[in-house]
Amino acid sequence: MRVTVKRWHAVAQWRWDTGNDDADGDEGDVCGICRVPYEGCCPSCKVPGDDCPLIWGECSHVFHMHCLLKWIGTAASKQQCPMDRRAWVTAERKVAKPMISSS
Amino acid sequence: MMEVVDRHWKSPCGGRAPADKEESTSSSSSQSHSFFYVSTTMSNPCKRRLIRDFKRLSSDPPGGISGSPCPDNIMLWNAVIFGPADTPFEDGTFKLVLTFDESYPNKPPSVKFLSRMFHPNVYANGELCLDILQNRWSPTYDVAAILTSIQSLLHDPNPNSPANAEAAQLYRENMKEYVRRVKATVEESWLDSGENVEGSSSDATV
Repeated sequence: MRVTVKRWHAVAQWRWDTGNDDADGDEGDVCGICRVPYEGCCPSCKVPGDDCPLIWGECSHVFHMHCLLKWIGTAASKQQCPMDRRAWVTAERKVAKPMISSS
Repeated sequence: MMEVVDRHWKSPCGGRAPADKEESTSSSSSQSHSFFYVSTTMSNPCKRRLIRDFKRLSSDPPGGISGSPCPDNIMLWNAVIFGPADTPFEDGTFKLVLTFDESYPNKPPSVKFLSRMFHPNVYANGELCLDILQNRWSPTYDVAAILTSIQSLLHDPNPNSPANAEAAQLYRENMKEYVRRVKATVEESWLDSGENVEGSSSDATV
């Protein structure tokens, strides 16, 4: 028997590679500042994706980039990570590279 | 804002709330009393965060605290902290009001006790001296975290930065009298319990 594929459509899903795959808990997958999931977007944006990326610190904490920059821009932040109060240094190694997986 | 709260420890909800320009101009005619309706129609980051805070506080409430936004103003919250067991504050129902502005969570809310307090770190007008509400604020804190911190401040005062010199002195030098004075505020806290939940009709202005 011969099967002819008449039509197909691909389905893909994406998520940010936070380097923290086992964090399936309630708190693990949300931005600590706005509490919206990483896969969502910061409250100032309308759509998730490349326009509202994540930002990683050397301290390993992850936030929506817009949320973190807004905080770092305030004098009160003293340029510290909101989680551990260490001086914020943006990690270079991954800058908002979405991980693609197909299903 | 300080003039809003009168000596009878009334809820600020019924009185003049800090103006929320956006809402009062755009939606005064169609304002809904449902938080959840409001949440879907507003785009303001601060309010979205407050809705999330409220959801978290309702679905996973830490022991001994409660809090909720005023029905007509999400920027203004009433809260109650129950005095922790095995402390002089035990059984107290201490009312507070939290006032947020648009910069939350990048700035802390202003927090104030409505119930009269006798505590080394609480001023006579109800404002409190707590590092995380000033120079140690972090935008990762939410309403639950704030209230939990205040609760632990009750049984763990910091006598080195006294907001109430007399309370600080008694705490250091005369624990028995300190406890007596605190217990008086515990009993007082029960008396004003009815007035804080909603704005009372008597102070509503037309």
